[in-house]
Amino acid sequence: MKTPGGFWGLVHLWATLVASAPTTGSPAADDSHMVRRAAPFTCPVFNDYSGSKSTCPASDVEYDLSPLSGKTVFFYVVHSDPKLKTMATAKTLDTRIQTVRKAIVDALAAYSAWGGSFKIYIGLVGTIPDPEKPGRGPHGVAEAGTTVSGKFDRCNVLIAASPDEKADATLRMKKAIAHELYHCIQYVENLAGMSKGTVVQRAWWVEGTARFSRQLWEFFVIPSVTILESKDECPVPDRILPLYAVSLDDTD
Amino acid sequence: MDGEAYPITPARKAVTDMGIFPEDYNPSSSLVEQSYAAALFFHYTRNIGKPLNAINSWVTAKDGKNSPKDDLADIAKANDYLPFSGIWHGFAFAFATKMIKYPSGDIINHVTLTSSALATESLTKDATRKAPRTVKAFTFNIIRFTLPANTQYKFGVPVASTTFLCSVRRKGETEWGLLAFDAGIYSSQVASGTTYMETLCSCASANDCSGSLTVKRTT
Repeated sequence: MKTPGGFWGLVHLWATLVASAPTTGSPAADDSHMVRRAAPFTCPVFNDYSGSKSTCPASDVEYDLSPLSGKTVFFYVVHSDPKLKTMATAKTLDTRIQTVRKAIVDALAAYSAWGGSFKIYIGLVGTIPDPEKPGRGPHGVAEAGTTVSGKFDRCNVLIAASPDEKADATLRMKKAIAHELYHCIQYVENLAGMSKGTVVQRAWWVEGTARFSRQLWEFFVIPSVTILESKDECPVPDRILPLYAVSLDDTD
Repeated sequence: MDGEAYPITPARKAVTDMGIFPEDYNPSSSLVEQSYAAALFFHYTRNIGKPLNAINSWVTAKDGKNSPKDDLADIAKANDYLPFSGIWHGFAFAFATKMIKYPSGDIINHVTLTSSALATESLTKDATRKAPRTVKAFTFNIIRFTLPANTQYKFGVPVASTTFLCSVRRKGETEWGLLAFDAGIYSSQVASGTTYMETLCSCASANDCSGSLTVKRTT
């Protein structure tokens, strides 16, 4: 296309520069590292979380959180998810987005010493389906994206938006982010170990350390949270205690 | 995956009993059979000053070595970067005395092994003096042995082991002593009334301490 000259040429140049400049889609304009991208965004394909290959159906917002602790982070929102669509107001969803963004930044700061540089795709959805538990899904999932040769290529994360804006629900959403991002660290540092053996054989150290790391993050970021954890999430008096007799050597 | 599901309330036992919190750690099962609840173990390693990088390095080093045998070997192994060397008994001890804390310093209110604080066993005066006999050895729980007046007993472990350890303390003492192979610990002899000894043992497999603790009447 021929570029006009003279005055209209200057107008065209100005319009071109404006159009090509990144726009700050985030309401928090002081987040200088955060850019809403106009370019089409390709959702990552998840291989495992629901037992079959799937991808986010539509996404019209992508936030580039790079560089963050050396990690390249792409945060997207799946607006087509029915639960997100039916949120009361746009402000309600926007609050969730702001919360998630901050939690990502905080968690990766806590893990900055680990994992080196790698890509993370993290999506906010309404619910994460679990075929084995219809009607109830996990707060988050993380999986390693690999190249055709099986090498680690990126970490894919999905986070379920909190169902309301109450403190407990919001907190659990933040915790899920910290937990899943630690799985990303595990993937990038030890993909082989994460894929060998049975799930049961590796679950104790994979999930145990992810939960431990998440709770460390809580302490560094929001120390008072642990009190909530013990009294709210862990109603000990309500438990049925396990069999104790198995540890009894009654040979006397 | 973070297996928590919305909402978590005490009324939803199906969720709260999933074993997904450090508070749910169950020492009657092997550590390596637990997942989220195993965080309790990692909190303990942090409590005793193991650096985060050491824990993370250990995670990184789990390159496919995931069998229960591998894991239990890790627990017993001496290695600079493994956080587990020599701390299994301390973990059991901290569990039984409820000393494991969150990073904030709050005690983790984990499940306990019995509804009472202590299990008990009475040693009778007619116990043989000739040879040590095996007695109850609770894993991850304190057991109190009640002793008759004018008697003295020697507590001991019959075989040298790095994966089975017992700590003992006499009535009124606050410090615990570790039972070493071939070097028992004696109870105090009192002229009247009863006295007691408390023991706390641990096994690497977490549930098999059979025949590991012995007691011999010496007076």
